[in-house]
Amino acid sequence: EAPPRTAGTPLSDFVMQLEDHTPTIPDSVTAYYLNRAGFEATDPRVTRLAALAAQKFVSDIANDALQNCKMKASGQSVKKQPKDKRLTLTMDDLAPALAEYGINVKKPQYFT
Amino acid sequence: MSEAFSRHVLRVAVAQICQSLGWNAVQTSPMELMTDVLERYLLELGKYTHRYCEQFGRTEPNLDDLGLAFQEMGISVPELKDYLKHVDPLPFACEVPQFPVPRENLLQFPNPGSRELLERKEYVDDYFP
Repeated sequence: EAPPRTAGTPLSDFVMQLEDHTPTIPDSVTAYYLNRAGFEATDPRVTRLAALAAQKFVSDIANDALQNCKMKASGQSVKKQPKDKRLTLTMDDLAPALAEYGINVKKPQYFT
Repeated sequence: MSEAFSRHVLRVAVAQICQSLGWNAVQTSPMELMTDVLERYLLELGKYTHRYCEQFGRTEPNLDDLGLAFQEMGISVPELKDYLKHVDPLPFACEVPQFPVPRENLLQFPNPGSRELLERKEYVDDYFP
Protein backbone atom coordinates (compact mmCIF):
# COMPACT_ATOMS: atom_id res chain seq x y z
CA GLU A 1 0.00 0.00 0.00
CA ALA A 2 1.35 3.43 -0.88
CA PRO A 3 2.46 5.63 2.04
CA PRO A 4 -0.17 8.17 3.09
CA ARG A 5 0.20 11.53 1.42
CA THR A 6 0.26 14.25 4.01
CA ALA A 7 0.33 17.98 3.45
CA GLY A 8 4.09 18.02 3.50
CA THR A 9 4.71 15.40 0.81
CA PRO A 10 4.62 17.75 -2.21
CA LEU A 11 6.81 20.05 -0.18
CA SER A 12 9.48 17.45 0.37
CA ASP A 13 9.65 16.94 -3.41
CA PHE A 14 9.94 20.68 -3.78
CA VAL A 15 12.67 20.95 -1.22
CA MET A 16 15.00 18.99 -3.52
CA GLN A 17 14.83 21.85 -6.01
CA LEU A 18 15.52 24.26 -3.20
CA GLU A 19 19.01 22.85 -2.70
CA ASP A 20 20.87 25.18 -5.02
CA HIS A 21 18.53 28.15 -4.64
CA THR A 22 19.45 30.31 -1.65
CA PRO A 23 16.67 32.69 -0.65
CA THR A 24 17.50 36.38 -0.49
CA ILE A 25 16.57 36.66 3.17
CA PRO A 26 19.52 35.30 5.20
CA ASP A 27 18.83 32.20 7.27
CA SER A 28 19.68 33.81 10.60
CA VAL A 29 17.09 36.55 10.08
CA THR A 30 14.37 34.12 9.01
CA ALA A 31 15.19 31.98 12.03
CA TYR A 32 14.92 35.04 14.30
CA TYR A 33 11.37 35.80 13.12
CA LEU A 34 10.31 32.17 13.33
CA ASN A 35 11.65 32.14 16.89
CA ARG A 36 9.55 35.21 17.64
CA ALA A 37 6.53 33.35 16.30
CA GLY A 38 7.22 30.56 18.76
CA PHE A 39 9.33 27.79 17.34
CA GLU A 40 12.94 26.79 17.04
CA ALA A 41 13.74 25.86 13.46
CA THR A 42 15.71 22.67 13.79
CA ASP A 43 15.17 21.70 10.15
CA PRO A 44 17.00 24.18 7.88
CA ARG A 45 14.72 23.22 5.00
CA VAL A 46 11.76 24.68 6.90
CA THR A 47 13.64 27.95 7.34
CA ARG A 48 14.64 28.13 3.69
CA LEU A 49 11.14 27.31 2.49
CA ALA A 50 9.57 29.99 4.68
CA ALA A 51 12.10 32.55 3.44
CA LEU A 52 11.39 31.60 -0.15
CA ALA A 53 7.60 31.87 0.29
CA ALA A 54 8.01 35.33 1.85
CA GLN A 55 10.37 36.39 -0.91
CA LYS A 56 7.91 35.28 -3.57
CA PHE A 57 5.13 37.22 -1.81
CA VAL A 58 7.11 40.46 -1.87
CA SER A 59 8.18 39.78 -5.43
CA ASP A 60 4.57 39.32 -6.54
CA ILE A 61 3.45 42.58 -4.95
CA ALA A 62 6.38 44.52 -6.39
CA ASN A 63 5.72 43.00 -9.79
CA ASP A 64 2.06 44.02 -9.71
CA ALA A 65 3.11 47.53 -8.75
CA LEU A 66 5.52 47.52 -11.70
CA GLN A 67 2.70 46.56 -14.05
CA ASN A 68 0.60 49.41 -12.62
CA CYS A 69 3.40 51.88 -13.20
CA LYS A 70 4.04 50.68 -16.76
CA MET A 71 0.36 50.78 -17.66
CA LYS A 72 0.13 54.37 -16.46
CA ALA A 73 3.30 55.29 -18.30
CA SER A 74 2.26 53.68 -21.59
CA GLY A 75 -0.99 55.63 -21.42
CA GLN A 76 0.69 59.00 -21.76
CA SER A 77 4.23 58.49 -22.95
CA VAL A 78 3.24 57.68 -26.52
CA LYS A 79 2.87 61.42 -27.09
CA LYS A 80 5.33 62.91 -24.59
CA GLN A 81 8.51 60.92 -24.06
CA PRO A 82 9.84 57.45 -24.88
CA LYS A 83 9.54 54.85 -22.11
CA ASP A 84 9.88 56.24 -18.59
CA LYS A 85 13.64 55.97 -17.99
CA ARG A 86 13.56 56.01 -14.17
CA LEU A 87 10.94 53.81 -12.58
CA THR A 88 10.27 54.94 -9.03
CA LEU A 89 8.03 52.92 -6.75
CA THR A 90 5.49 55.25 -5.17
CA MET A 91 2.55 54.71 -2.86
CA ASP A 92 0.19 55.29 -5.79
CA ASP A 93 1.48 52.20 -7.53
CA LEU A 94 1.87 50.12 -4.41
CA ALA A 95 -1.57 50.70 -2.86
CA PRO A 96 -3.65 48.99 -5.58
CA ALA A 97 -1.14 46.14 -5.75
CA LEU A 98 -1.43 45.57 -2.01
CA ALA A 99 -5.22 45.87 -2.13
CA GLU A 100 -5.31 42.77 -4.32
CA TYR A 101 -3.74 40.81 -1.49
CA GLY A 102 -6.12 42.18 1.09
CA ILE A 103 -3.79 44.79 2.57
CA ASN A 104 -5.41 48.19 2.59
CA VAL A 105 -3.19 51.17 3.24
CA LYS A 106 -4.19 54.73 3.91
CA LYS A 107 -1.74 57.54 4.39
CA PRO A 108 -2.65 60.14 6.96
CA GLN A 109 -3.63 63.44 5.43
CA TYR A 110 -1.35 66.39 5.94
CA PHE A 111 -3.09 69.34 7.46
CA THR A 112 -1.58 72.60 6.32
CA MET B 1 18.49 45.25 19.41
CA SER B 2 18.32 42.22 17.20
CA GLU B 3 14.87 43.39 16.19
CA ALA B 4 16.24 46.58 14.66
CA PHE B 5 19.05 44.63 13.04
CA SER B 6 16.76 42.08 11.41
CA ARG B 7 14.38 44.80 10.21
CA HIS B 8 17.32 46.47 8.58
CA VAL B 9 18.34 43.24 6.90
CA LEU B 10 14.77 42.75 5.62
CA ARG B 11 14.83 46.28 4.26
CA VAL B 12 17.91 45.51 2.21
CA ALA B 13 16.36 42.25 1.01
CA VAL B 14 13.21 44.10 -0.14
CA ALA B 15 15.38 46.64 -1.94
CA GLN B 16 17.26 43.87 -3.71
CA ILE B 17 14.06 42.17 -4.82
CA CYS B 18 12.66 45.43 -6.19
CA GLN B 19 15.85 46.18 -8.02
CA SER B 20 15.98 42.76 -9.61
CA LEU B 21 12.41 43.25 -10.91
CA GLY B 22 13.36 46.48 -12.67
CA TRP B 23 12.58 49.32 -10.31
CA ASN B 24 15.22 52.05 -10.40
CA ALA B 25 14.22 53.78 -7.19
CA VAL B 26 11.82 53.41 -4.27
CA GLN B 27 10.30 56.08 -2.08
CA THR B 28 10.76 55.76 1.66
CA SER B 29 7.11 55.20 2.59
CA PRO B 30 6.54 52.25 0.24
CA MET B 31 9.92 50.89 1.33
CA GLU B 32 9.03 50.89 5.01
CA LEU B 33 5.60 49.52 4.17
CA MET B 34 7.01 46.57 2.23
CA THR B 35 9.48 45.82 5.00
CA ASP B 36 6.70 45.80 7.56
CA VAL B 37 4.57 43.56 5.33
CA LEU B 38 7.45 41.13 4.91
CA GLU B 39 8.06 41.02 8.64
CA ARG B 40 4.41 40.35 9.43
CA TYR B 41 4.24 37.71 6.72
CA LEU B 42 7.16 35.81 8.19
CA LEU B 43 5.70 36.07 11.69
CA GLU B 44 2.32 34.85 10.53
CA LEU B 45 3.83 31.89 8.71
CA GLY B 46 5.72 31.04 11.86
CA LYS B 47 2.60 31.37 14.02
CA TYR B 48 0.47 29.07 11.88
CA THR B 49 3.23 26.50 11.57
CA HIS B 50 3.84 26.56 15.30
CA ARG B 51 0.15 26.15 16.09
CA TYR B 52 -0.19 23.18 13.77
CA CYS B 53 2.90 21.61 15.21
CA GLU B 54 1.63 22.06 18.77
CA GLN B 55 -1.75 20.65 17.83
CA PHE B 56 -0.09 17.40 16.85
CA GLY B 57 1.74 17.27 20.14
CA ARG B 58 5.25 18.13 18.93
CA THR B 59 7.55 20.99 19.74
CA GLU B 60 9.65 21.01 16.59
CA PRO B 61 7.80 21.82 13.38
CA ASN B 62 8.40 19.78 10.27
CA LEU B 63 7.45 20.04 6.61
CA ASP B 64 3.91 18.77 7.21
CA ASP B 65 3.15 21.66 9.53
CA LEU B 66 4.63 24.09 7.07
CA GLY B 67 2.54 22.57 4.29
CA LEU B 68 -0.67 23.01 6.28
CA ALA B 69 0.29 26.60 7.08
CA PHE B 70 0.87 27.23 3.37
CA GLN B 71 -2.61 25.93 2.59
CA GLU B 72 -4.05 28.17 5.29
CA MET B 73 -2.33 31.24 3.88
CA GLY B 74 -3.18 30.47 0.29
CA ILE B 75 0.30 29.64 -0.97
CA SER B 76 0.38 27.06 -3.72
CA VAL B 77 3.40 24.84 -4.27
CA PRO B 78 3.15 24.85 -8.11
CA GLU B 79 3.40 28.64 -7.98
CA LEU B 80 6.51 28.37 -5.87
CA LYS B 81 7.99 25.94 -8.37
CA ASP B 82 7.29 28.39 -11.19
CA TYR B 83 8.93 31.14 -9.21
CA LEU B 84 12.06 29.07 -8.73
CA LYS B 85 12.23 28.25 -12.40
CA HIS B 86 11.80 31.75 -13.72
CA VAL B 87 13.71 33.76 -11.19
CA ASP B 88 17.46 33.36 -10.67
CA PRO B 89 18.67 33.04 -7.11
CA LEU B 90 19.34 36.43 -5.63
CA PRO B 91 21.95 36.16 -2.88
CA PHE B 92 21.95 38.66 -0.08
CA ALA B 93 24.19 41.68 -0.47
CA CYS B 94 26.64 40.99 2.34
CA GLU B 95 27.56 38.42 4.92
CA VAL B 96 25.14 38.25 7.83
CA PRO B 97 26.48 36.60 10.99
CA GLN B 98 24.58 33.93 12.85
CA PHE B 99 22.84 35.48 15.77
CA PRO B 100 22.37 35.35 18.70
CA VAL B 101 25.95 34.29 19.31
CA PRO B 102 26.07 31.58 21.96
CA ARG B 103 27.98 32.69 25.02
CA GLU B 104 30.33 30.65 27.12
CA ASN B 105 28.49 28.93 29.94
CA LEU B 106 29.57 30.44 33.25
CA LEU B 107 27.69 28.00 35.42
CA GLN B 108 30.64 25.59 35.82
CA PHE B 109 28.82 22.29 35.60
CA PRO B 110 31.15 19.62 36.91
CA ASN B 111 32.24 16.86 34.55
CA PRO B 112 30.88 13.42 35.43
CA GLY B 113 33.32 11.42 37.42
CA SER B 114 35.31 14.43 38.57
CA ARG B 115 36.80 14.82 41.96
CA GLU B 116 34.46 17.62 42.92
CA LEU B 117 31.40 15.47 42.33
CA LEU B 118 32.60 12.88 44.76
CA GLU B 119 33.48 15.45 47.40
CA ARG B 120 29.96 16.91 47.43
CA LYS B 121 27.46 16.28 50.11
CA GLU B 122 24.75 13.81 49.29
CA TYR B 123 21.92 16.33 49.22
CA VAL B 124 23.49 18.20 46.35
CA ASP B 125 22.50 16.54 43.07
CA ASP B 126 25.05 15.87 40.41
CA TYR B 127 23.57 18.12 37.79
CA PHE B 128 23.89 21.31 39.83
CA PRO B 129 26.67 23.74 38.84
